Amino acid sequence: MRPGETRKLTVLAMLSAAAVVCNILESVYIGPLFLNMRIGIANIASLIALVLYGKKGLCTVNIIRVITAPALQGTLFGTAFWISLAGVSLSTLTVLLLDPQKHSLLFLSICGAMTHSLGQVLAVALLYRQAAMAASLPYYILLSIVTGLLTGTAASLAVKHLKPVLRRY
Amino acid sequence: MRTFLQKKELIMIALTVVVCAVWILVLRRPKHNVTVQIVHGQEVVREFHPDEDALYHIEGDCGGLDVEVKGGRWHVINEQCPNHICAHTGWASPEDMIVITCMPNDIVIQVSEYTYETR
Ligand SMILES: [Zn+2]
Repeated sequence: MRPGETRKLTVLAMLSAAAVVCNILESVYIGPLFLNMRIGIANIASLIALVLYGKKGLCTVNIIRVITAPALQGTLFGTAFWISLAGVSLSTLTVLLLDPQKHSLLFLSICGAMTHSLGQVLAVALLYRQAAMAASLPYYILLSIVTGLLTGTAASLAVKHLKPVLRRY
Repeated sequence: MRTFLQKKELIMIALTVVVCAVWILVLRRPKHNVTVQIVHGQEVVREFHPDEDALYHIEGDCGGLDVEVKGGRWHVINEQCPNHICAHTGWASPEDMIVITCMPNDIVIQVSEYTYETR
């Protein structure tokens, strides 16, 4: 294993752990802002992984957190798990399809947040056979723009401070 | 990777905001003959008209909850769930068409039928 690889593995492991902790903290202590909408502070870790290690970094952190967080809370394979999985999968897919080279971090973050909500609303609509769920979609999308801006800004600030530290090792 | 939004991206986001705003305005038009249904699992356990004030107790997977209907709006109270997301959702009305969900109880409360006011 090359030295760079070890560092990458360590940083991704730490980011995944941070994402899992954020996920649990948010579901226990912060709670939803409006309807079932959360800020999604775990996305900050995913975005940092995207900036530092590209699409593979983003996928690693998202796959680990979407399974580990509910496993630790004992909600794995419950209704809430499938809804969260739908949100994370759709938002990861969207960011993968968009070219990180062409787009800005804030744009990717907003698109990710919007498709995250879309995925969750679709999952609820399918699980409960409730087409009426679509009525909440415009509210969720508008709020996602705000939360996407918040997490995107937080991630870019974190990366700014992380990069010089990582260069030293 | 760039951090801040470029002009094109800003325009796309602005367009999304406009579409959502129009969508919300269309949804908020006054409605008539509104029926709200309470679903537990896959089964409709109760239907009500929001213009009749009432209190319904609904059995769920997690101890159930009460739905209070008052002045044309409805909300969840006395919920027996660990996260209380259903109660935090607050009041729902025919205008906002908000769907109240209680995942732990497997209960969904939503507008099922309505007609728009015609002039
Ligand atoms: Zn509840």
